[in-house]
Amino acid sequence: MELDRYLQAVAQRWYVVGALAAVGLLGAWGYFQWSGGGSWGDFRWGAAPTARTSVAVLEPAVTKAGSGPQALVNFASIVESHALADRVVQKLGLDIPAGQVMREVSVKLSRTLVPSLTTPLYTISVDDPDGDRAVRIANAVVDEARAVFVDLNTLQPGEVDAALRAEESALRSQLAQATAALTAFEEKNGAQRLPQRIDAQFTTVNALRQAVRMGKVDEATAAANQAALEKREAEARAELDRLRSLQPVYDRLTFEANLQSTAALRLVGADSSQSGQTDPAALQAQLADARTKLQQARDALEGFEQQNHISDLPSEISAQRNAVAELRRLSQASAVAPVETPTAEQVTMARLGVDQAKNASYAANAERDGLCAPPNPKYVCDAANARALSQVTGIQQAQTQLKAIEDAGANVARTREKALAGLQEQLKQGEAELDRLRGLQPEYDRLAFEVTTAGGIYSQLQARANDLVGRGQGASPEAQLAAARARWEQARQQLDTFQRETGVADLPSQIASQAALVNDIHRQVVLAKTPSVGLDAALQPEEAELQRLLGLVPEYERLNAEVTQLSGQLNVLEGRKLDFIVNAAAAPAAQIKVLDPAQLQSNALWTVVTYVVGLVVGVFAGLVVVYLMAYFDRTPRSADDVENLVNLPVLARLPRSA
Amino acid sequence: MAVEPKVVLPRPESLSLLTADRQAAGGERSSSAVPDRLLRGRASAAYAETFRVLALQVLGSAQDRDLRSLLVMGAYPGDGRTTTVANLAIALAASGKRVVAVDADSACPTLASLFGLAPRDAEHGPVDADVRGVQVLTLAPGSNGDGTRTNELLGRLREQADFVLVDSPPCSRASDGFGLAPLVDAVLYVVRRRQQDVQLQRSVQSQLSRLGANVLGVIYNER
Repeated sequence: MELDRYLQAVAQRWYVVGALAAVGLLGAWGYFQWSGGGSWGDFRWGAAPTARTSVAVLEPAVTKAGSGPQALVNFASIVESHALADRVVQKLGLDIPAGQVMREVSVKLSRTLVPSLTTPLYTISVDDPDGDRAVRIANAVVDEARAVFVDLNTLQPGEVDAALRAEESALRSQLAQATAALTAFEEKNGAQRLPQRIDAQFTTVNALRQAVRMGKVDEATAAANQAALEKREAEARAELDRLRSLQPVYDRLTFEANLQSTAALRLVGADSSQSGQTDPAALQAQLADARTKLQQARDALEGFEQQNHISDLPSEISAQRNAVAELRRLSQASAVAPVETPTAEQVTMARLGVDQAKNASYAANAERDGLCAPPNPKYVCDAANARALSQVTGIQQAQTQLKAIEDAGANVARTREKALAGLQEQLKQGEAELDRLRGLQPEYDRLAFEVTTAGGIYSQLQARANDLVGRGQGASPEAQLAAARARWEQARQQLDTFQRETGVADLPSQIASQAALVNDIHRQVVLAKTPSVGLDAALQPEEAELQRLLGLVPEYERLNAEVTQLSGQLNVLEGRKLDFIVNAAAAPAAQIKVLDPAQLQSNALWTVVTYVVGLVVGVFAGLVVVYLMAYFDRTPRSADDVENLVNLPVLARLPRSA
Repeated sequence: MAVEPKVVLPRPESLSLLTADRQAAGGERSSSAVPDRLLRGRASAAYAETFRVLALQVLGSAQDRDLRSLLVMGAYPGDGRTTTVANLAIALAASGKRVVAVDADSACPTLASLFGLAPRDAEHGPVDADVRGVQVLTLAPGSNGDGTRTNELLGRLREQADFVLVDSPPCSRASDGFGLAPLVDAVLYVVRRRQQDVQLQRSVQSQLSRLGANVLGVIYNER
């Protein structure tokens, strides 16, 4: 549609635009009537005055972590609640309903330069026709919201602790039942640590099958060792049982030590953030002090490491422990292992190899003699000569191999004694080194803890330097940290005492190592028995035992899964308990600080803007309606329109005015 | 079934009688009964001038093509056909021509009343209007159905007058206009400034073209 035609249409239908503009103004007026608290009886032209106040709210971490029914409550939701409106109406004795107060009150999260998740800044606005009443309502809202919020966010340690303990008790009870069922199953079927047992049984059966195929059993050696092996197996099993019996106590003490250590480390962060200064100068001083302490702690740790030739003590102890366990297992296994001598077949094969090498050498020599005769060129002769020489080397290698096999039988006993002595010497040295490293561990742990805590404090203070929003003063954070440290040291001492008294260090790996040793000896005992009972007779019961163990797998897995699931739940609960310990000690109480007292603000500009917007929207809507009307209008408005309509010339035009 | 036409061809003696009777009856045709929009009333100069120009165009065409009878058509009621016929008749009469204005809109015959006559007065033959040189005839209902009779009537009227102007019913309501269009020398089509059905207008023009009607052009009524 052309512009001039549209303008003509607007000029002809100006009343449509005017009517919709009036509707827009009426809408703006209606908005003011409605937004003023819904009281249509109070006629007014513009927006109600607004009382506005800003408050900073410290929302405790516990509300975010979710430790109770107040988890989803934040300050804004309290301000906008009907319950708060009720309290305000009662407090001020207002003659307006609580619903109207609730509609008049609004809260929004203010934008700040440094957004903080834990100390948001809220702006509370109250729009009321009566300006004085708006200010009174705003002040009352802040007071009542403060009371409600603090009440809701005050942690009740007793209740939470009791709830956690009850939940833990129930879980532990279920876990004990599941574990008892699993243990009873294992004992009834002789299937402790079933997967490992099955692996060991597979190894034993495979060894017997191989022996059956090779027909290789040194009867004399086996008979001599059988008694010693059986005795050794019994001793190893007794040691394994002793270690297993220690495991529950060990697990409890280890967990307690880890829990307290983690709690203390987490308190470091909470401690520094809680005691944060709002004074930049004081904060800088704290920061410098923390940096110095951190450097001192690092220096002390490095000096200790250099003095004792260590770098990462826990890793070194772990590696040394593994090395010692392997040496011990090798030493014990070698002491009772049967002597393995070269078989006749091996000697025959080695001799055959020597003969083949000699034949190849003869053939190469004959070829060389043939090729070196004239008229062959010299390089052909050289190549044949090189091949002949290489065959001589092959003969020497085959002879060396044969000699080694022949000498092996004679040297094996001597070699074994020598190797055993070497192993025992290495074991002795390894155990001594392990003892030395373990002796260093308490001091190392203390120094590492100091470095970690100093580093935590320093990084927290650095973060604080960028965020000076006040949080209020915490209550003696140093004392809390000291107490946590004391609890950790106490738990650690208990664990050390237990380890010294029982002679265990890393019980799980010791148990695994011992079980492997038992299985190893058992396999040797079975092999040693075979000469007396026959290979097939020895193989059959072992295969039957393997089948029996495999048949136990489904039930074992069911019981084990139950134990694992309950253990997982218990671990989750322990995590929550840890959160509670940290939060109860470190989380500050909810605090609300009024930054800007309630002040009345005029809304004249807002009134004008609203009316202008209503007018503009109305005019625009009118123009749109006119456009649509013109678009669908088929009235001819000129002679040209008529000619286009009927395709005939216009002879006369009768004017509008007669 | 043959329909007996109700139109009675006028005779000179009866016309004079009808005229005499009307005058004796008490002057129903007073000049004050003619609407203002007619040229001889208080019509605006521009309005009157429009019809004078239109009359000149018709006279010019008549000299070129022996144009004696004209049918005024329109698509919708109220388009201004009757007014056009009346004013054009007056304008032609002012040029010294004898004009017979025929009202063929039997459903709503209003042409006679524009000249201060009762419709039934003009049903029996052309009646002198109070404008010099203008006679009015109203066709009785149903008389348009017989084309031969109507053609004979128009032939007689052409003998009596210089111009025969025929007013027709709206095309959107009745098809009488399409029956008359081939019988006259030319057609004038009236379009009023109002919401139009484009399809209908094009359909009317298409129909007139198929009937072989000689459409002179359009009179655009802005009222």
